[in-house]
Amino acid sequence: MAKRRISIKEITKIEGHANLSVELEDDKIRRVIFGVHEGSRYFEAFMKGKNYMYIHELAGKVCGICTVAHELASIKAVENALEIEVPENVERIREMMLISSHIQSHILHLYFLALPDYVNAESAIEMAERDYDLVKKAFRIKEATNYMTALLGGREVQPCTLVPGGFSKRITKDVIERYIKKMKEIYPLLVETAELFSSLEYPHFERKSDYVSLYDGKSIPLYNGKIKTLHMEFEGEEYEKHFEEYVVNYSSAKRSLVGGRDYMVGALARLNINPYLREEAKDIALSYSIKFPSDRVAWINVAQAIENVHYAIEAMEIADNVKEYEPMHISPKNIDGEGISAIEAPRGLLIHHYKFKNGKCTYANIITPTAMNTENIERNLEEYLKDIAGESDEVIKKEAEKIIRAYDPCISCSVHVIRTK
Amino acid sequence: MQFLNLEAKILEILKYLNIKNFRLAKEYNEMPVDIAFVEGTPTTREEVLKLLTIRKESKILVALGTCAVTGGVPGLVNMMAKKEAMEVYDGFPPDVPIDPKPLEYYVNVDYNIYGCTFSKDELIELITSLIIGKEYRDKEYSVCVECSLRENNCLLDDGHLCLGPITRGGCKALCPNNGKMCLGCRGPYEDANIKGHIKILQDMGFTKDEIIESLSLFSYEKFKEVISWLKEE
Repeated sequence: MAKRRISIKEITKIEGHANLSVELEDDKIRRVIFGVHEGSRYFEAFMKGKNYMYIHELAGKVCGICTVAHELASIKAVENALEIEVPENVERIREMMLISSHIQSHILHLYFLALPDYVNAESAIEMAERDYDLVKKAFRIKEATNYMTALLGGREVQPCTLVPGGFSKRITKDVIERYIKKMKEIYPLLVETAELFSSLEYPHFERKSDYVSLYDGKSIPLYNGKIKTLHMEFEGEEYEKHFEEYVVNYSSAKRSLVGGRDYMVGALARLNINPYLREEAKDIALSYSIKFPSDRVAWINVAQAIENVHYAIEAMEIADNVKEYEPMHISPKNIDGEGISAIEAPRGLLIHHYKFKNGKCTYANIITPTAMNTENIERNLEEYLKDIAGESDEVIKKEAEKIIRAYDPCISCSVHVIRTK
Repeated sequence: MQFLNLEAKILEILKYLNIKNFRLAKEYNEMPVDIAFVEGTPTTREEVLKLLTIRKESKILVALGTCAVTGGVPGLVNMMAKKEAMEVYDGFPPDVPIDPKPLEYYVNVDYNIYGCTFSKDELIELITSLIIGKEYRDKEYSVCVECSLRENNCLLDDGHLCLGPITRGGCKALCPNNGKMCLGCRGPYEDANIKGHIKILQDMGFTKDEIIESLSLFSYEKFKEVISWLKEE
């Protein structure tokens, strides 16, 4: 019996530290292990005892990429818990902030982490040596979307303007107009990006699994909506009833199933659950014979590039209807309470859950998209590698990395949420 | 991550420096290097060893961002009883936890870039200084200095628990400019009159607990002594 073992000690071009080990016997896959080996973090522990107004500030530090999503999910859960009223206008401005940060995150992933695999480069640095303008274009979109987030958030990472109930600063008409102008400026580049990523040769691997995303029956929601899977629909508040969480001994991130099935969250899940892509975005995909829903895992990349176009149009429409915002003093109705929020982070569904007593946090639970995706990543890898088990170690490694990177995993996010019942 | 937010400036930097090791963005990574930028702080034994190796294999080591400089937000766990913290992991964390400390606790740090998130301008300033051989100095003045220059309303006057007077400047008073009190994410500067500021906050009516909570958010390790003084006072 010929046994071999392929392992990647530290997977590069993903956020955080993860490893992969594949055991084969006679060119048959025996075992695939996708392990997360990031040190433990204790957000849910040290959030306890903190004043409600600091909670979202701390939550933003869970992640370096999707700080906006974490801060928004957190503040929304705090507002739910303490019954702090949030004007619709505030929600719309927050959505604009979420959209520019989504596009930024996708661009970072698409050009700097994923694309090198498809153009035979080891990094974007090498890509820049060959095609300077391409990398420069990516940086231009990144810079523009960061600028838009900073317009509303004070800075592009860890926004500093969010306060329960609203913002700490005025959002003027001028700021909104600059946001729209910037989005218009990069819109053609987002279309080019969608075309580029629709045209690449991806692994053909497909597998039926469940998909989970926010759902409102008319759009591809990011900030408000129910949670929908292929099989059921429920409110965010009921998450504990439907997500079964468990741990495996080789990984420091919690795993989860929904209705007994492994599931995917993120751009592809959003498009699979919500058939409401705008025509402009859908047409780009169609012109490359790409249709959603799809079970083709590597099309997560395409889904990100396509939804960028969709959300850019969405953001401009929202911005057109947003009113100026004047900061006001908001105090919570309650100082005791429990609140849960579910929003879409760039990498997928994100849940924050808190309890408060006397305005101080007594319980915190955060479930991140990567923690939700981990089981799905491992099962999909196992199936895909079966198809190519006869190939060389080098090919297997490369193909496995393509699948893992497609998910755009954010490992540091996933590790602090290992709580079992 | 924030390094990639330097955006097109990275392409400029690449004209003068080669990026030899950047696991987040590169497949092939090598050591030793001339300058190592370390973001974050070790929370496992393995990571401590990795830090020691990086120190050995680099000429200049830069602590990048608050976690690396002060232990940062993760350092909040150092205030808790270990048993209580480990409940998050049902009492069984994936590895023996190590208290998040400033990098300087383990190794010699040549430069600090402060802030959560760190200031891109200061990083560019440091890199430029290193390239042209100019001295790079920490800013030994408070956020208040930069805030007053911008003629902002004083948030202390408005009754906020602002840490501007004792926090190291360099952020151009970003949070106060946006109507938000300074949370102290850059840590205290060298000669900050911390006890004096605590007195002011107490006179304003803030309780010991509120002041300790605020001081510890980003820099528990740096305020540890003054916090235990305040507790006993």
